[in-house]
Amino acid sequence: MTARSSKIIELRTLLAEKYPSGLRPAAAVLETGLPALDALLGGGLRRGTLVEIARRQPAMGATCLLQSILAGTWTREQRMALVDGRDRLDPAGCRRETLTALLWVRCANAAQAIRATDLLLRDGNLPLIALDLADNPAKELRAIPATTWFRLQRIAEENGLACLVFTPGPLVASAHARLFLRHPLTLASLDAPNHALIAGLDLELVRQRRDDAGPRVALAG
Amino acid sequence: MFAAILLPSFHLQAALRFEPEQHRQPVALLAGPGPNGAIVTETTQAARLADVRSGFTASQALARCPRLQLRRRLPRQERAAAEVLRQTAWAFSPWLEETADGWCTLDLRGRRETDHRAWALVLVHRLAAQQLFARIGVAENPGLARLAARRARPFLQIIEAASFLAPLPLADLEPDPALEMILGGWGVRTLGAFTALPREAVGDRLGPSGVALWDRAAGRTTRALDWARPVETYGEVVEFEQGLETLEPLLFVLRRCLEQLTQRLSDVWLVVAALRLELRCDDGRVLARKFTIPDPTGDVDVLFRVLHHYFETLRADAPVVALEIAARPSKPVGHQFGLFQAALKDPNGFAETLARLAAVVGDDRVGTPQLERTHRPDAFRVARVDFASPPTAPGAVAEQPPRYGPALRRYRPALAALVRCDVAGQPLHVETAEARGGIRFALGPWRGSGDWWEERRAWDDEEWDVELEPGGLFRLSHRGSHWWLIGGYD
Repeated sequence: MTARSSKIIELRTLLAEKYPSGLRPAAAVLETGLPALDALLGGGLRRGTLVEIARRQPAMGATCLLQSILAGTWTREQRMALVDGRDRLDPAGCRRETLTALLWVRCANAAQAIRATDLLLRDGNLPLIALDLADNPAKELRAIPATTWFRLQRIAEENGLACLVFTPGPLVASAHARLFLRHPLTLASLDAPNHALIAGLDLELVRQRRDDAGPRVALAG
Repeated sequence: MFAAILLPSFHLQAALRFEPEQHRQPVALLAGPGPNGAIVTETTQAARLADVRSGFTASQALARCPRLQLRRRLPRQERAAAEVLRQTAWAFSPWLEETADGWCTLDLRGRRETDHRAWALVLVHRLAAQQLFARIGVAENPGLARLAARRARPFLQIIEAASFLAPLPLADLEPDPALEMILGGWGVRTLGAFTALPREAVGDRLGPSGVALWDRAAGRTTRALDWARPVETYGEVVEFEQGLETLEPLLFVLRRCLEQLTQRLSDVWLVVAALRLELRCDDGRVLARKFTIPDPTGDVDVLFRVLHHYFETLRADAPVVALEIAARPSKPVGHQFGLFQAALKDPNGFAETLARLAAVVGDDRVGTPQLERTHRPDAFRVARVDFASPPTAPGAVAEQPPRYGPALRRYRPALAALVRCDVAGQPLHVETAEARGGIRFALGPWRGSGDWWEERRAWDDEEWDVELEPGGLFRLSHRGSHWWLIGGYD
């Protein structure tokens, strides 16, 4: 054992003694209803964390994914909130009954969306908060300080909530896991059954704290 | 036995109910257009010590006491105070008569105790918590109880009527002035002196009114009470002498109202299920709003926060001159959560968060989406969130046909687009604020029409699904010579 690693162990021991609450047991996970995504995230969305789903360009299937997670939430008789950064949700695209499990916050810009997410995370009543910033202009997203993401993460951690953030690119500095949607949809996908589209979404786990980046996985697999 | 509950200087008490600190100051209530204008009708102890008396004109009163505050009667606050008296007294006996302003009489037929001091003092304390200061007299008939209440500090029970009545001045019975003058001429000043006269002889000389007065003086008169029943809603009204233009004083008064309301409800083991707030503005406008409390509570802080969020978004064009708040009571609800129940942990906290969200994004932009029963595009409404009741069980929903294609992200409003088409009318190139580029593939046109029987509501148009060369799937709409980008597939 090198002197350096022994110092690290000492430091960890010291921190554990001084801040016992900092060492929490493994957080429970919130299943998304998509087995492949849950497997990719190690069982589901970990409570108390932020998970980022980013895309490089439009039409990657992020909204399909969101609607499937909503359907899964409804199936488990739970509720979720969607903070819609640019009021882009089309309720007609969701099954009518699943909408009863949704709190929809229709924001005009990213600043409003961050404020609304902050309020919902502090409230702590809904176990899953989805923040959709995928269509917000880059200028608005750049104006969000990195500290904001750490603040949101701390609030989520304190209240044991999961927060799923949809972004147009890597943005959330405090994300526990970041996934990239890789494969763009084509016009042919308009005729494909919805479940087949979801299964065919191409997700890559590019970052996960305490874990190495996982393999590139198609949800069908 | 009967109990008379008296709120001395009732009209002044009602006017000062939300300014309890003023009870220690010289304050006089002006009422009625007398020959010299309004006259003083009621005064505080401090005003009486400064020799301000009932019947003075305003200038006479101010000459005696320059620090004197003059107030006018506030009928709405008086009605609210009378209701407080009724509801508080009702908790002690259902046989209640509202005898006069600030005066209730209770029939104590259901109470078995002989000493009524204990419950009477509880009643006095409950009224004091509502900023109403009461005196209670208990006696064998309503008239005697009323006389006892006048002498009570704050409670008096008459055991021996004759010895209590004998030294009382005749004026306590408020006799007819002509009779009082005759009796004064005879040297009769007290009730004892009057009842020492033979009843028949009084009847011979003064007639039936003299006999009736003699019976009252002897404490023999009894009468049937005119039963009253308090209303089921609990409310408070505050009228402001000067209109309020800022939020702080309004919130201060609002909190006092809530404290008193919840106290009244707590006295009868109830909590608040809903609130109705009404603000009257100087320009005659009334701002009214109802608040449903998801988890009925008597916690003032929770109720205050719910109203506070509303006030944060409120804009009034004129100063507020009156505030009225009414509470719908309910029994406290106990919760037994199921092992797998996904109920809200804190329904009131959630309602509060919704109010805050509404303050951030707008009242109509927070809620649960509900699809309209129409094929019109983007037809939905945002309904109030109801997460208190369990959601529709997945098993109870009928099997539905599979859905096809990716989800649409709608642009609200649709973006105007410049579209170049070929000779067949098929789009080749699109230019909008959000997407631009050549069109690799296009599917369409998909024609839509609806409400064709109504000229203004027709939405006859055609739609194209396009895939752009730089990437992205979009839905274009074409009506007449105009093109719009109505959404992107994702």
